[in-house]
Amino acid sequence: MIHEQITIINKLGLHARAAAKLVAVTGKHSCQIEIGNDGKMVNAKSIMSVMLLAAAQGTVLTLKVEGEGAQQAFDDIAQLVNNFFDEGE
Amino acid sequence: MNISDILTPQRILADLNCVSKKRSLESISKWLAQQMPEFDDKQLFNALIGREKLGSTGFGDGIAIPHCRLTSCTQVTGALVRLTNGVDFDAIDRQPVDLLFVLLVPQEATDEHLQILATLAASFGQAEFCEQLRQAADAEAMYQIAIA
Repeated sequence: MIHEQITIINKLGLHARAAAKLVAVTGKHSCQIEIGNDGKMVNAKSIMSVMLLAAAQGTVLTLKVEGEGAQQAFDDIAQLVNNFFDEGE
Repeated sequence: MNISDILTPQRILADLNCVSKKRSLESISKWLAQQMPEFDDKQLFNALIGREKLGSTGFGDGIAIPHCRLTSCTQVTGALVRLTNGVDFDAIDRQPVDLLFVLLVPQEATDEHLQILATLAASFGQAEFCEQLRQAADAEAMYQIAIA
């Protein structure tokens, strides 16, 4: 299982469009993916759940990825987040 | 933040009959602009449809949360619309949409926007909440469910 922290760096945070992009990436993978903070971990394949986090710029989130292709899934998510969700800022 | 902070009974439409996503957003824009003179219906429609072009706000299970930022918007404003028939909304699960929560947000309200999205997700993410809205007799009943 992968258990890593990731920081939301884009200006608008995990708003609806960013959450939709995240879910589009996580949905391509068959492994179990949870995102959140220690108190509140949610299914990273559900957009409503991801929006529950209200993660603003600078928020450190925990990712738990378990199952087939976990490393690839984590890498894909990290790339999206670290690329500012392709928003440019 | 609660739904009651951004929704009024007047901003609920219980039975809108529309054939498409575009038509529904058009009707909703006109209806909202009639109620709130600070909004221009065409500007509102263009902003909402512009946001949809970046990615559908049809978030699955028949729910859409169309939203946009507007310079003419001074406080977060919500409106709840129930369609008589589900319409194709390019939703992420490709299912038709029949419940819409429209959200108008001031230009700079980033954190507040995230908070209200979380509030809406907490309610609309529950199948029971959505089902109650679908079954509600009228706009007043929908309002009571939405703010409960």
